[in-house]
Amino acid sequence: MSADVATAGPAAPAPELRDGYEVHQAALRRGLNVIQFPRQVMMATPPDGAGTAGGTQPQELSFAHGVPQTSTLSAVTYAQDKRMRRALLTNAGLPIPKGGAYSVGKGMEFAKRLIERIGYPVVVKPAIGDNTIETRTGLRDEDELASAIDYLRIPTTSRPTYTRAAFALTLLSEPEELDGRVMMPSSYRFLLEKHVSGEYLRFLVLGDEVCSVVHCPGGPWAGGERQHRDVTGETHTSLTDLARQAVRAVPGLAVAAVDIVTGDHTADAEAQDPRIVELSERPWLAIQAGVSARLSQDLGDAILRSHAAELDLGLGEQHDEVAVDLHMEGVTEPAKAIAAVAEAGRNNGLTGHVSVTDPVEGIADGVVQGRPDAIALLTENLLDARIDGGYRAALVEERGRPVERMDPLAVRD
Amino acid sequence: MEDPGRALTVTRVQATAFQARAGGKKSNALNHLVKLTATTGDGRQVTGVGEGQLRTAATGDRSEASWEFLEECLRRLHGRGISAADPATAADAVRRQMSEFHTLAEEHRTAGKIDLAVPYRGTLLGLEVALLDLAARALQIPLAELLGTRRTSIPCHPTGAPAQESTKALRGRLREQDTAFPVTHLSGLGTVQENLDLLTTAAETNRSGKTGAGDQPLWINLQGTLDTKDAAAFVKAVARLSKAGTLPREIYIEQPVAIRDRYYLPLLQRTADKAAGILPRSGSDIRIVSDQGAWNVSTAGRRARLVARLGRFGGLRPPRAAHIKPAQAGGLVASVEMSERVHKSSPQARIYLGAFDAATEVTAATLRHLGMAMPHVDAVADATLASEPTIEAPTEPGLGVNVPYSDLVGDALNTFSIPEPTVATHEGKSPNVYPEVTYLQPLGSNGTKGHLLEREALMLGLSTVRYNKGAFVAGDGTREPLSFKWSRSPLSSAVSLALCTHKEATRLRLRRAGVPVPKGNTFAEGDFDGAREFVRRIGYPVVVKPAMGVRGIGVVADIRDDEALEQAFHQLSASTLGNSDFIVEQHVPGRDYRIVVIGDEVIGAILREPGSVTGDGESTVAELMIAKNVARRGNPHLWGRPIKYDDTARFLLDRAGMSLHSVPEKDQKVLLSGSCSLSQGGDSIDVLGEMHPSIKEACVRAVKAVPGLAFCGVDFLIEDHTKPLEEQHSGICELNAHAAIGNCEYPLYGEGRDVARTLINECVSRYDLATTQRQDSLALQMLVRGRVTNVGYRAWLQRHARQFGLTGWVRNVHERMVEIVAEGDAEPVTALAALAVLGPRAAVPTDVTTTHIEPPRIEGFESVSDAPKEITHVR
Repeated sequence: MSADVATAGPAAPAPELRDGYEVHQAALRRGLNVIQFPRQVMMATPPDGAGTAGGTQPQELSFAHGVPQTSTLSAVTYAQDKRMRRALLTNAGLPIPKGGAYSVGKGMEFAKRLIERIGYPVVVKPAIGDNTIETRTGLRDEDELASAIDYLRIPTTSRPTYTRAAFALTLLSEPEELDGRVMMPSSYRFLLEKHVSGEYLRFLVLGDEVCSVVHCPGGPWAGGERQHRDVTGETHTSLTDLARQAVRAVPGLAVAAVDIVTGDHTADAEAQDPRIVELSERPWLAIQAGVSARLSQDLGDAILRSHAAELDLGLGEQHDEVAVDLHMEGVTEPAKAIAAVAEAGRNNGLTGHVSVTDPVEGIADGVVQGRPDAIALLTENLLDARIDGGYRAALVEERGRPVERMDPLAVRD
Repeated sequence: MEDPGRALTVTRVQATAFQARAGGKKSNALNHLVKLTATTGDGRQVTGVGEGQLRTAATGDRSEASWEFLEECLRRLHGRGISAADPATAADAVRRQMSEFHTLAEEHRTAGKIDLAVPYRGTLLGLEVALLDLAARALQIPLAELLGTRRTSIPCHPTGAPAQESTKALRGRLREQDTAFPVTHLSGLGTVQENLDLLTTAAETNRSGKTGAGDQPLWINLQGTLDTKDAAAFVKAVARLSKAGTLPREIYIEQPVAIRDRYYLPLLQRTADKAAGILPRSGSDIRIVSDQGAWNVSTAGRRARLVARLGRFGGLRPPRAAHIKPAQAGGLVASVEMSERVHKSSPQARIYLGAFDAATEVTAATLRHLGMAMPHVDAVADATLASEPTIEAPTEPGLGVNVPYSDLVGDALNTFSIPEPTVATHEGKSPNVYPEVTYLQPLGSNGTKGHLLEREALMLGLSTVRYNKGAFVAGDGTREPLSFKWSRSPLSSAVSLALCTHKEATRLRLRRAGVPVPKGNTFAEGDFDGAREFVRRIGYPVVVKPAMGVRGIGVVADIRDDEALEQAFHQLSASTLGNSDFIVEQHVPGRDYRIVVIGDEVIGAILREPGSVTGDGESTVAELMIAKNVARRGNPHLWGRPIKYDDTARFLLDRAGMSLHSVPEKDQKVLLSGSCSLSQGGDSIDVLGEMHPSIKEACVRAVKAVPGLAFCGVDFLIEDHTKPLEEQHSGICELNAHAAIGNCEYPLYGEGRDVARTLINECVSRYDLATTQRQDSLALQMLVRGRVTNVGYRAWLQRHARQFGLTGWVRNVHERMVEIVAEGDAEPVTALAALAVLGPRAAVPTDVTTTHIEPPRIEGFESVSDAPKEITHVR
């Protein structure tokens, strides 16, 4: 019966959970034990490795939002600051659109002065924080520009597509009340760039290698996924070289997404005028998932393998069905949470059982088996308070065990 | 023959330099507070206070020279006798004393200690007022009587309404001021149009006032902000608007142009007269007022005669109005004399008495007393006034005010006292003074955080590119450069920060690693039943806090019983943060330690104690706070983090039955802050040498439990750092993956540790960069790119380089690039490299590339158009 449900596949994770989810399922698929913490912090160890208690460190792969440990703290910090990133790319002699960063409070005049030189249309996005999100493109006049800036005055917590990485800089500028309205303070900054037209290409760079290129005709933002097309094999090497150089300009990124707008992805960069419009320390595999779930899954596995290779850690074969002992800590309202977990897992075809071990300290245990993606989705959602009822855990541990025949996932008293 | 019973002996002299506040906001203005204590012949103790306002060119003061001068005057005063048999004798004694100080000031000038004419007027004011206050209190008469009271009341007007306010706020402020005041006083700033708008708004508001004094005169002080062309345009426009009836008939325009353009003032007056003369609306009266700037210019050389001819009112002869400020005029007696002179040369002249912005109530009281003694005055400015348009003669002895300590304890920059001030010590250790603080202060209060790593990198021969205050990359020219942002380095992983910034995740991870952490659990919003159950299991005391809290908001610590627990729950559901999960954890009864781990080693450890002062049996709490804050000014990490006199301090003092004026007993510790945070005035005490190995071992284990964490500040609650962990309660409450570097590098007490040097060495060895021997002196070339020309960048940079004692030059390379060549000790040279990316106000540097060169060995530091020497890069 497990074969029947397995073909159905789980629902998709939220786009901002996609990277962590893909690397997580890749780890389960290859038989690694996994420990997860909130905000997609994940460690994976080989099943024969020693436990974490006792002091001796097992070989351990670790990730935040699918970003491996080998991405340094200063590198991700640089990548999250678009003004810095522009300066680094410029100093490396790489082509970026004309632009500048200004404050939402007093920057309008400066922005208009810049536009006098570069002309409309322009693009506006937040100057600090996650990349590729909240991008307003094709702004053609002052009204549209003002409306884009006005949008950024909305507190980040009220903006539907705003995301914030766990390693982000602390935002010093917290929302404040102005004229009876809660807004981002006037010092909050936006980046203004000339809107470059052409083919919008998303490169995934792993180590020093481009492992995926997706053509996103409407841009990489939500809504256009169905038009996305994998063009990895047909992209001109001069363009993939450009993407690799862009990542090298921000030293210390183990993985990065680079967006380049150019005339024709099959032609030599020399013959056109490509511009690097984004560089993200998060892979944002939701783009590749728009092409196919399989592509996104394979790239998650590639990130896992690449990190394992850096640590000289051998990985096992992939399995489409796995079983894990599940251990959860810091579970809020444990009895209700466990019921919700069982239901969510069951709906995604998982088998096994879960129960509350210690209601006072919020500890629960169980056995879960089924498709690695379904298990990954279940616990990613639990840690991010996305299962029905909004319950959450502060730690989830999955330790591999032999697959056996079990009933659909249920609470065991 | 003087009655010895009526002579005063000065027994204690004290002074504090502080950053004065204007409208409650800290300004850049420097004031002095002078306090003199004396015993009278009959054994009474009296004190006198005075406030000096130092405004560089306008008062002939420079902060360091003036402070040195003040110290010298106070040294002379200490132990001296002042005759105070009667008001006339006392006034004469003060005059003679001040005359001695004026002579001393002039000696300083001729000796080249200060380069301003009629120096130290702002400083002398503080001394004069303190002496007069002292004598008046001894005689138990108001200070005004020593000057010769000439009136029993005087019209007054509120101090200037600033131009920066929004129109709405300005209208509100003007409406609050009853229009019966003799004049509406405004502080102008900005463009011609902005100043015209300010006048128009004020005139409109006055007309709409209840008393209907619509044509009340306006007085705008432009503080020398316009150039001559704009000033002429402004004067003409004012005349036009006055003609049209938009503005009132009588308008005073104070110092429209800078002091250097003071020769232009008579021309502006003629422009105004001409404009007013041809206007049909008769009697428009536009008066240009000088701020007596002619005093402030060097009288040396050929200009001496010209200055003398122009006189003290900017060449406006006869002056039609004067705004006398005692700090500028040279004191109280000088102000009285000045009003006489103005009146003599022009009986029709309007005379107003005022002070510079940014002052305490001491200055306000001084003006009230002086006003009563002025032979000729139309109105006095009053900052403290509510709505009364007239001030009555004060009757209380002296100035009638005490030292306004609450205004200055947190803003103290320097302090001086004979007998010697109390030095805040910790277990016999004096606070550290770090000489490099001079170079680090211009970088701002977070300066060390962004600079120390670059300093170490440059000292190892690496070159750098700095992008802003916090971010730079360092490289050896061959390998991939290392990037840094504040203390975020390439040594640590992004993952490590992601874990450490989640407290609950950190706790669970550390518990698994066998490191002591407080027991705790997270609960869903409103799940108080679950939380009660948990508390029953772990026992009191506990801490309750919001799961997503920031900066300690909503944290209730040391909950010891059910009642306190319920109260905490109540607070949680009432607060805005209550709308989310919350954490209950064991309260660890320990002291607060910050322990720095790099790699596998503990390299720094400080004990953090809440802000406090320790009594010496003589000084007040306020004096002890000032002494402590001045000691903190000598610390690169703490200079911008004083002990504050805030609500917490008031509450804690109140709870101890004390105030700022209380005198704690010797060795009595007075708590002034509720937290150990160094930013809240906490003390940092180095304890690395005494730390028990078991604590260090636990810290290293904790850091190793976090993937890719190579630099970490461990926040550890421990009862006694010299004892083994197993013998006491303890718990790690936080790991900081981007910890400040300065706190262990620059402790207030005890030995500073090489945090930055160790961190850079670790980076260099991990990434195998080629370095040189650590060099104590450096020669560097800095190329600054961005908007750096025609913005005063070179003059700004040269000023700092000279202050830092460096040699070299600065020059424009092209429109968007400046070259700096600087040679000297490593601390100041590297500080200049960090400073270069900030630039003066109008500059927008985008980056600074710093490389090593052969020492050019030239004299001085000049701004040049061509490089005086060819430079040779090393490596």
